[in-house]
Amino acid sequence: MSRRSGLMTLARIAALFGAGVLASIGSAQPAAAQAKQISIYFVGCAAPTGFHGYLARGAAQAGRNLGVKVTYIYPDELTIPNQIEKIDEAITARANGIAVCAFAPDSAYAEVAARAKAAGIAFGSAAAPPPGVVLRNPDDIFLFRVGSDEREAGELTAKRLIALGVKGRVVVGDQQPGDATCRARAEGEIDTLKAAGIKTNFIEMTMDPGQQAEELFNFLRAHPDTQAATSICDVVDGFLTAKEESKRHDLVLTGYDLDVAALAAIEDGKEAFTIDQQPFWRGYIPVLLLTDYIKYDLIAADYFLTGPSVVDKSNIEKIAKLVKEGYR
Amino acid sequence: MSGPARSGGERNYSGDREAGIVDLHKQPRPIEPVAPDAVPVMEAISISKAFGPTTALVEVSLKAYAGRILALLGDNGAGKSTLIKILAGVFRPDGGELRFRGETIAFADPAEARRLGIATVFQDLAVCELLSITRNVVLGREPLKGFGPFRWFDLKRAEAMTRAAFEGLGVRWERGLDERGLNISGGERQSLAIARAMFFGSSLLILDEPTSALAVRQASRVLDHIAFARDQGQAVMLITHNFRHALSVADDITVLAQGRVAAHFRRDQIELEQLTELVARVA
Amino acid sequence: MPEPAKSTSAAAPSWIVIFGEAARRFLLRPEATALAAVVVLFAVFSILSPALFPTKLTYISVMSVAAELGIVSIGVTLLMIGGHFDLSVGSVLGLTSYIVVALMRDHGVPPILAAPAAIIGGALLGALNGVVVVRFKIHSFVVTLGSMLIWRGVLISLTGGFPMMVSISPAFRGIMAGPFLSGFRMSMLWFFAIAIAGTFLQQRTRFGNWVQAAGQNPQAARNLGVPVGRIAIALFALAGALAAVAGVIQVARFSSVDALRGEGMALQAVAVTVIGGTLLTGGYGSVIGTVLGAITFAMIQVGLVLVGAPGHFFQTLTGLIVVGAVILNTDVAGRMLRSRPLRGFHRSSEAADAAILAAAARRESRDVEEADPQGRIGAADRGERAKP
Repeated sequence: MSRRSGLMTLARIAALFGAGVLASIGSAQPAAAQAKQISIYFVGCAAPTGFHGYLARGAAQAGRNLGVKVTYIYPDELTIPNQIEKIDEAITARANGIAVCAFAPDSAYAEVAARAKAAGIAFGSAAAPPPGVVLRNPDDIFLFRVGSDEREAGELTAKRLIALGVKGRVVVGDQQPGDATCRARAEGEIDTLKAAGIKTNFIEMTMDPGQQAEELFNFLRAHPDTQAATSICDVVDGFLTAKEESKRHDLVLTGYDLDVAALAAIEDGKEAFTIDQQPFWRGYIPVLLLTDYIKYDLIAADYFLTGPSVVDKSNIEKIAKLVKEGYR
Repeated sequence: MSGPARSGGERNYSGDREAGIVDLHKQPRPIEPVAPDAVPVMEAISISKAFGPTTALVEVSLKAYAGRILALLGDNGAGKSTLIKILAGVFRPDGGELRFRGETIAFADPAEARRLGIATVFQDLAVCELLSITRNVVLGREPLKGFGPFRWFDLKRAEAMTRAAFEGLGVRWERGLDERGLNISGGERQSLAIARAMFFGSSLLILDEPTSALAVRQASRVLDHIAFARDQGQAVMLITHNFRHALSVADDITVLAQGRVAAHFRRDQIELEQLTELVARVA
Repeated sequence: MPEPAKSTSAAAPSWIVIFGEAARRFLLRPEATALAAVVVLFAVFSILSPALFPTKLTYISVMSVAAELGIVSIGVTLLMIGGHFDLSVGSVLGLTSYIVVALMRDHGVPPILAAPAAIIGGALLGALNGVVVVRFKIHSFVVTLGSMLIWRGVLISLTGGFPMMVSISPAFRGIMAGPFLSGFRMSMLWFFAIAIAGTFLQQRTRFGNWVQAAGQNPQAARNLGVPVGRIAIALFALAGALAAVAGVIQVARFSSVDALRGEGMALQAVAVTVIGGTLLTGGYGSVIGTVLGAITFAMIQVGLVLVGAPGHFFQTLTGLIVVGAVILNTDVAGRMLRSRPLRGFHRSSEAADAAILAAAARRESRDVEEADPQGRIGAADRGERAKP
């Protein structure tokens, strides 16, 4: 054999060998990808403190329980473009599934939902379905909707008040008059009470506890037949002070969310009950639904309502412990 | 309405002038030359200043003496405002030196110039409109009553000081001293600023365009007050671009053009037409 | 220099003129329209709810709201007179409330130390605003908008978004906000004390004169040696400190702090300040006016509830009344500022006239005697400085 042809043979063998190496490396990639952890992005509404802390904690817990990677991101200022931008970031980061704390109408999310779908990313909403809708619409841009119904919460408050035997006047104080969530709660309660023939008043308030206290105090002066008062969208401190200062120990106080003041007040009997929207589930369930869809192609037939639920003297002790741990 | 009248053509000190401003520049009064041993209150020797590529002043020298009014004439861009700011301690000159009463000085900041008694009155910055006249006059140097850390504003003394300040300039005030600055005319504001400066002991009064925004009658009054100040022994530097006004009160006139001293005269060495022609030539 | 001669003018002004002039001077004050607002609203609400409104409980309630809001507003007023805004006072109130609660609850500090510590903290937070505004020459609106968001964010993260409770001794609550005089709260007393101090500061101190000058014409003030920058920082510190005082009062009253404590108060304080006659453009204003403005605002809040106004319109009605009061104030105040004294009424000018004439006569006789007709050279060295 000539030297030249020997070299050529050597070159061919080397090329084949190199190709084989490259091929094996290339084929190893998809296998490694399949073994890669599922990545879920939770696009929140606000920083993970307070109320939204629950969502973040729930999502993180689900991640731990299910063995998926959960990343919580949120816009600095909650506007539609800002949140869409965050969703786009998740899409760019090649998330397998995205859950959004949706606060705007569906039309705002239609475009980015289509983008996610095109990228093969599961897309769901961590916000409640429209009131009254239970079964999932097959054309829904969201794979699922998980949230608590604010109007339902107001209705539940009203029903509980009626069950407690309240027949006289009820006053509903909204500390954030511009907020849609607060308005929905207030309307749910007022409509239900009015349907039951109970006199109801709505008053706008401010976020200052001192001003709230004086407003309620003076309302009670003007309407001594008031039997119950509901604090719609702020801590219940101001209402408690007004109750004390007007010496109306019979006044039935109700509010929303679980915080130190509310817990103490329910234990002391100063507050009758508070509505908890169980926000932990709002973080947990979306991650669960996304994971099960990605793994097993499961889609829930109906929407998931995490709340409302009532916390009162009967279950306060158990709940208080869970509040300390951050689950409730 | 006027105070003790003097023979016609001379000023009376009550603020009302019989002879109009228009006439006076046609009657050159004899001005005496500066005494050979007189030390100028402020002397600028060959001052130069540039801002980057733009030269504002080139070797400008002038002298301001007590009891004389030096009018500084020149168009916009001639370097007048830069010169004032150097004299007031806002800028440091790049070259040359300043002498205050014969001693070389370099101002660290405007406060130091103020402490030496160099009072600069700008056209539109004399008066706070919503403060009363009294409060305006004593602003920055309010008389205090009390002791230790518990000192408060002595309004009575302030009022007395204000009256004295105006008297020192021969200004008669027709309204109460608690009228607000808003309600006094431009001329009265200038007079207020001058009276204030003099009262608190100015060694050199620098007036930047005091009459430019004023109607004829008010301008006449203000010039009268400036002359009064000069007669009290004040050194005055009057910056203006109005030749008539300059000629009516000045003792010495310096013309600045393009950052340099274009000419310097004693007042009685020149007439209005000559001055106009000269400035037109060099500007 | 002799004392100015007493006025010897022939005709004293008639009593109509005196009364008219007194009325004019009263209306000249910024407080006048605020007082008018209080009186008008009192009348209106009393007519609409005669059984409930003009009662002691109402007054106590009104003063309670007015005190908490008013204390913050006084700081904002002085700052606005000096020509600056502070949008961060609400956040400072919240954050300093947190300081009190955290010191008391987590570190066992007694309220007598925790409260002053929080107030000093508020002053520092305010001074920080001032330093940024002065040093970097950024408009206070922008700077305090930023600090408002920053401190609110800090408070949210420190509290974890949740309210914090602390046990408050009855003594502490009593001193800060408890009832003391036939039901009226101590907070009202603090409010009045601060108002008196603030008025004195503004009207009767050198600092007050400087604040007004700095607000009207900072450049002119600077030329006269007024330390405009230092004044601004002091005013910001004061606003922060007063916000902290209100925070302490609220902690004492509600035994708690939450993440949104103080939210919205900055704008309420501005509204109250402007109702009270202070100009948004600065340089002119009144602490007493702010007191009346706070009472006005509180009356609106309490009155709307008592007269049974539709609850969906509280915000709207409050806004309308506030705007109305401000328009009235600005319009009337503007007119008054430009008004002249009534004819036939001169005051100190008479005395001044006499003094000037006397001095001119003296000078004339002196001139005649002197040999040197010029008399200019050496005049400065004679120390010609008029003494009061």
